[in-house]
Amino acid sequence: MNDFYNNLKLRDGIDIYYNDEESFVTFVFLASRKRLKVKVIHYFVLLISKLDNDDYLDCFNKYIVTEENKLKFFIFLKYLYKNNVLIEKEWIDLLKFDKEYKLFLDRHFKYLLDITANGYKEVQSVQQKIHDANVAIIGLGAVGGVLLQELVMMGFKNFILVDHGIIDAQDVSRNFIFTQKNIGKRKIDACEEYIHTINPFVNIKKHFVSINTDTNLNFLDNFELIINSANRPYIGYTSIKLSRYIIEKKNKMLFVCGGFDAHLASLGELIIPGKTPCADCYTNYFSTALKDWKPIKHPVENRENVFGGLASLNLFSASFGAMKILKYYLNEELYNFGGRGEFLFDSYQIDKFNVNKDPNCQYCKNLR
Amino acid sequence: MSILQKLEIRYVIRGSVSIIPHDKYIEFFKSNTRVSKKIFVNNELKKFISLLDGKFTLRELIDIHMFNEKFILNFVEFLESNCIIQSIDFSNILENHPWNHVLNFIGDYHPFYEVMTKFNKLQNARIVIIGLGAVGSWIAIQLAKSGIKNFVVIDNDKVEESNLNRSCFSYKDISKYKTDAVAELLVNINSSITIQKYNLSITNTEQINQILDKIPSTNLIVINCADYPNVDVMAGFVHTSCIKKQIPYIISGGYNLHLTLIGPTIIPFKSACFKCIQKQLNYNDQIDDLIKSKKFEQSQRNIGNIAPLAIISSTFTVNETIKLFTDISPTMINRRGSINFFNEEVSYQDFLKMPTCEDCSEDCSIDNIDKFLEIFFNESETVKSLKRIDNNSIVFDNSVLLLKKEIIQDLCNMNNDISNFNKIKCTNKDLSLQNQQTYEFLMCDSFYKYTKA
Repeated sequence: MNDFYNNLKLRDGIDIYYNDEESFVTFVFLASRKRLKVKVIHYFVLLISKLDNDDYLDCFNKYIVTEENKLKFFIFLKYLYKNNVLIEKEWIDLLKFDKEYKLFLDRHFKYLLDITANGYKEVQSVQQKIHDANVAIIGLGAVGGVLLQELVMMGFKNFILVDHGIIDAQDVSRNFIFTQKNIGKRKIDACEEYIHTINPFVNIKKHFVSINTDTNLNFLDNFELIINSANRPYIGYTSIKLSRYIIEKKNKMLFVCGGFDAHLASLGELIIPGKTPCADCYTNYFSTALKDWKPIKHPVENRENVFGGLASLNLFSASFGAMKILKYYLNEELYNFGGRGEFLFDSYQIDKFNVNKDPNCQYCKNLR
Repeated sequence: MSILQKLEIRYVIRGSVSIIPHDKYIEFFKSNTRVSKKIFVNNELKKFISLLDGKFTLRELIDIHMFNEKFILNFVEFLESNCIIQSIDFSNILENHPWNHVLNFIGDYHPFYEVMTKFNKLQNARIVIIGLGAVGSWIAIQLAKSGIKNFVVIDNDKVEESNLNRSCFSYKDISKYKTDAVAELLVNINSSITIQKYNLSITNTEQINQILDKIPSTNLIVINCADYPNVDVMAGFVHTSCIKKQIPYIISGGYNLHLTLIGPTIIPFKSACFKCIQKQLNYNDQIDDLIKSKKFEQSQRNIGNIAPLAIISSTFTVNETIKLFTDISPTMINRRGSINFFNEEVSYQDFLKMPTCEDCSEDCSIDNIDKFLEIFFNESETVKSLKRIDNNSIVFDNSVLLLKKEIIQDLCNMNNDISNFNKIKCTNKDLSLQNQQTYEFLMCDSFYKYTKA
């Protein structure tokens, strides 16, 4: 019993407050703002705050003199461990991942520990899913490229990059990943090179193709998370094709990115067949909602480089997408509804609205 | 621009503006910023709008279609100032311009003939970034990607492996100074960027003063992204230096688990400063029942961090900086905010520029005492802990009485200028610290209402 209790420490994401007058401690969980109040003597709390310190043993011997007190203290420790105030000192060592992986993700694991507010085993289970996930990213433009980078930074390791583009000067100023030296290269090659400088252990497959109506999608069969960030062809059409594909294949999900031209600060949506609206549901919803809102043909014929944007808006959209995906791996139950949103540059508000599954959707209505 | 010049322009509807005709009006939708302009138009104007394809000069359109010249000129001015149209020459300049996405964006806020000037101002901004951690490093890169060319970066740390999950560094940067690693990244983005590097740990205001003294103070901003020993202490150093030198500064928000914090933009003497905000925050926090508890000292801890949160936090500071230098009104003046990732809600807290602020108050003189007192007593009714007793006194917490004549005496001690509040330290020895603050805030609120009346 002693060994186990001597091996605990206070979790990083917790603040301790002690009320001298009424002799109680409040542990504040920084993540959830939850609080745990316990009526306990001051020096027990002092010891808790020193668990990871060099002078802990001296302190312990100073304050805990009787066997009775020792027992009371261990009961207190056990209680705190059960309530996720305390954790094993070397809990990261107890996680079953490669040493390099754990070093890279040290702060990420600490984040997960605090956000899941449970023991390290839950961190293991959440991260295992991330570690094992096979992710396809279609379209490595401004948003796709950054999203790829952020997923790598959260520990995703297996990717296929799908894009038909070659980097030009315009791409360099718009994208994060591409520099002058990349001009003329295929986007998928430049991305692979870049990602390996951030994490050399990421597995990257590549497919130099553009998705059209008759493209065979079997190269996506082994990938459960498909991310669509392709600008061309129109993202609405490719998303429909991909959405119908994942419904047919089962056990896959689709993240449609925001942040494309003319809608730079849009936030994207996660499509989980049966739970959220599918791409056809969204299309039907919008064709009804926007039936009185039809722009006329624009007098400018070639509208390739007419849209404005800032790097910050791209990054916002990509990062929001990364958080949405992380949230799914934290708790699948969070996603049983759909919706869209956009970030408003003037007021810094997020304008969002819900979209329901279309009960008459021929593609997904029969899914549970 | 003269009328003659305008008549020679070939106008075109800006490419990012959609045109949606409705029954009774026309809607122009600026897609970059998601803002609509709806206007009633008669048939003449409808026809005119349909001709704006950049092929004919204004004079030719007026002559060919026999429009009313004065009427059309007024309408053109309206369309220009609302950023709906531009000249075809400008469109051609933008077409292959390396920064066309930034220029097109600025074009949503300024008429086309001002866009280049605003962009030049942005490019020539001088950015001082203190702290190149997860947030600071991303801020530097985004600003470089927006066209800015002059950076001063301050950080004493070297890149470590555990930084890589959220900063913009890569494996080859490990063991380099963060300043060097960031400098390399910036120059790769734009070879005409100049960077001054300081491998310093900031521990006092004087260090910041010395750095700022070496930089021309026009077009300058200081961005604080450092948090050692904590954000407030560091922000305090930045504030003290910048308020004195009247340099705008941003306390870049950080992030804390599921909350991303969005910090305030401070324009000295124009908006609430760091001290104004601290004062109001401390005042509001006192309702917490933790107030009677003491916080335990905890040794250096490493709170978990991930890339998306750091990046989202950084984007706000970048947006504010760009707004400041392109003459778009900043959004984070007099406020702070936070985004909660679990429910995707953003919320903001607004603050006053305190007329009694020790650091940034200006003359707040009261000419008409009676009018001020009338407002003062009316405002007292909105404060929970106060009770108003007729027109001559108020009671704090049901226990301490403050008479009108005492208030007048306080005003006299301040020479009828409430910016002197702190110097005189309106101490009524019966008022607790909290009541003292309530009294001060009541003076401030009343003063604002007084100036508006």
